[in-house]
Amino acid sequence: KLGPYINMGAVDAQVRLELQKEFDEIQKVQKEIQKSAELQKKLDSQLNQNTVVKDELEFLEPESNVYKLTGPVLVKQDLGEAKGTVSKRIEYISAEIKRQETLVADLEKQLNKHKESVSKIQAKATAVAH
Amino acid sequence: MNYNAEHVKRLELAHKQAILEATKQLKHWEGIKTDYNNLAAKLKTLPDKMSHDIMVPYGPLAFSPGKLIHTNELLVHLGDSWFAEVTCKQGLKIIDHRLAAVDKNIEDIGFTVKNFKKKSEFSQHLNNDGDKSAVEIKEEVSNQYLHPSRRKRISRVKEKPPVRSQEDRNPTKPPIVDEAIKEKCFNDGAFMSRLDELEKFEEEEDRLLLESNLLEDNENPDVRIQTSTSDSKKRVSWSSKVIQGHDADSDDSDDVTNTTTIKFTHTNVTSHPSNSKQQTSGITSPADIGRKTSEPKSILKPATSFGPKSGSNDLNPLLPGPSRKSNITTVSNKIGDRRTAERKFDVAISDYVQEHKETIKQSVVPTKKRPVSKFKSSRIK
Repeated sequence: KLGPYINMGAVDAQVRLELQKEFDEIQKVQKEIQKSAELQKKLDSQLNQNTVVKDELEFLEPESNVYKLTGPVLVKQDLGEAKGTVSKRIEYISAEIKRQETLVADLEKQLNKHKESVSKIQAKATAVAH
Repeated sequence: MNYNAEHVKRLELAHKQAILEATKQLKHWEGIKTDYNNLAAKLKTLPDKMSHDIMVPYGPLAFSPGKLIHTNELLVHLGDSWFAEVTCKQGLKIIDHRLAAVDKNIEDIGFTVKNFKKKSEFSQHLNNDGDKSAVEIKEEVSNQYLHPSRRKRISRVKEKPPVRSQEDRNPTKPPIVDEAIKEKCFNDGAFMSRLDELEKFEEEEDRLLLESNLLEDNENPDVRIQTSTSDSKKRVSWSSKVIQGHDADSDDSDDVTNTTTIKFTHTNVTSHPSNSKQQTSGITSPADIGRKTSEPKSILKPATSFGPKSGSNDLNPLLPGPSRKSNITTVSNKIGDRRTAERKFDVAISDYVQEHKETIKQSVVPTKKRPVSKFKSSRIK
C-alpha cells in the first residue's frame, strides 16, 4: 500500500504511520474527484437534453398541448411557461457544472499537496536510512 | 531514423483502439437513424385509417388484440420529462429535426475515424526501417526564434561589479607608494586626521554642488566658452584673478573672443589672504600671523603645521583652496574642475578653471554616484 519504492525494513514506525495517513487522504480525495466527474457527466447530458427540448418547443405550434411528467402524472403546461421553465433549468444546470469544475480543481490541488507531503516523508525516510 | 519498435507498436495499438471505438459509436448512431426512418414511414401511413387493429402488449409476456385510435394524435417525448401533443405531420417535422442532429453526429464520428486512419498510416511509415532514401532533417532552433513561452530561460547574468583598477587587486604589480612611507603615513595620527578633514571637506563640496546646481539659473557666469559638445553648455570661470599669464595664453584667451567672452571679476576673498606675492605684505599685525598659521594654505598642509610652509603649492592648479566660497557661488562641479584642471594649463594661475556643466535637463542629480576619492580609496586599500 505504501508503494514499491521504500525499503520497509529501514523505515521508522512513526514515519510509516505518517505515510499511511497521507495515503488515506489521497485516496479520499481521489474518490471525491471521481464522484465529481460522474456528476459532471450527468449534468452534461441533462444540459444537452434540455437544449434539445428548448429547440423543439420553439418549433411547436402554439396551440399544441405541452405536458410535464411529475411522478406518475402528466401535468398540462402552458407553452410559454414550459419554455421559461426549461430555460431556467438550463441556466441552473450550467451553473452546477461550473461549480463542479471548480470543486474538481480544488480537489486536484489538495491531491497534489498530499502527494508532495508523501514524497517529502519518503525522502526524509530514505535520508534517515542512509 | 530508427524509432523504437515497441513505441511504434504501442502507437499503432492506440490508433486501432481509437478507430474501433469510433466505429462502434458510428454503428450506434446509424441504428438510431434507421429507427427514425422507420418511424417516419409509420407516421406517414398512420392517419390514413380511423383506427388500426393491433396486438397490444400486455405486461412483459402477453399481447392482446386491440385498436389504435386517435390516429392523428401523437404524444412526443421532448426529453427531460417534457411531452407534447402533436399531429402526425408535426411529428414528422420533429423527426426531421432529430434526424438532422443524428446525421451531424455521424459526420463527426466519420471525421475522427478518418483522422485516426491517416495517423495509423503515417505511423506505419515510421516503422519502415529499410527505406534508406528517406533522410530525416533535424534543425536546431535557436532560442530567439522560439515563442517566448517556449524559450529556454537564460538566467540573468549578474552584472559584474565595477572593475577596480588592476593595481587594487593585483598584488604582484609593484605598489606605487613605497611601503615604508605608506606605513609611516598610516601610523601617523596627524596625517590620518588630516585625511579625515579632507573627507569632510569633500562632503561639504558635494553639498555645495547640490546647492549651486539649484542656484545655477540665477547666476551670471563669468566665462562662456562654446564647446563642441552639443548637449551640455560648459561654463568656465576663473574664480580669482590671473597673476602671471604667458603671452601665448593671453593671446589664446583673446583669440577666443569670437566664440567666448571672458570676463572675470575679482573675488573679494576677505578671510583668505590672496596668494604668493601679496602674502608677505598681508601680515601687518600679530593677529595676521595667527590667522596665517591657523589656516591651511594647501591641501597637503594640515591645520597644524606639518609640512613646508611655502607658497609653492599655490601655483599648483590641482589643489583647491579649502575656503573658496567665493561670492560668485560658482563652486559647482568642483570635482569635475579638479579633473579638468588636470589638463595642465601652463598658466600660472593662482586658482583653477572652474567648469560649470550646464545640462539641458536642469534637474539636480544629487544621488549621482561620486567616484571614490583617492584618499578614501587609499585608506580602504
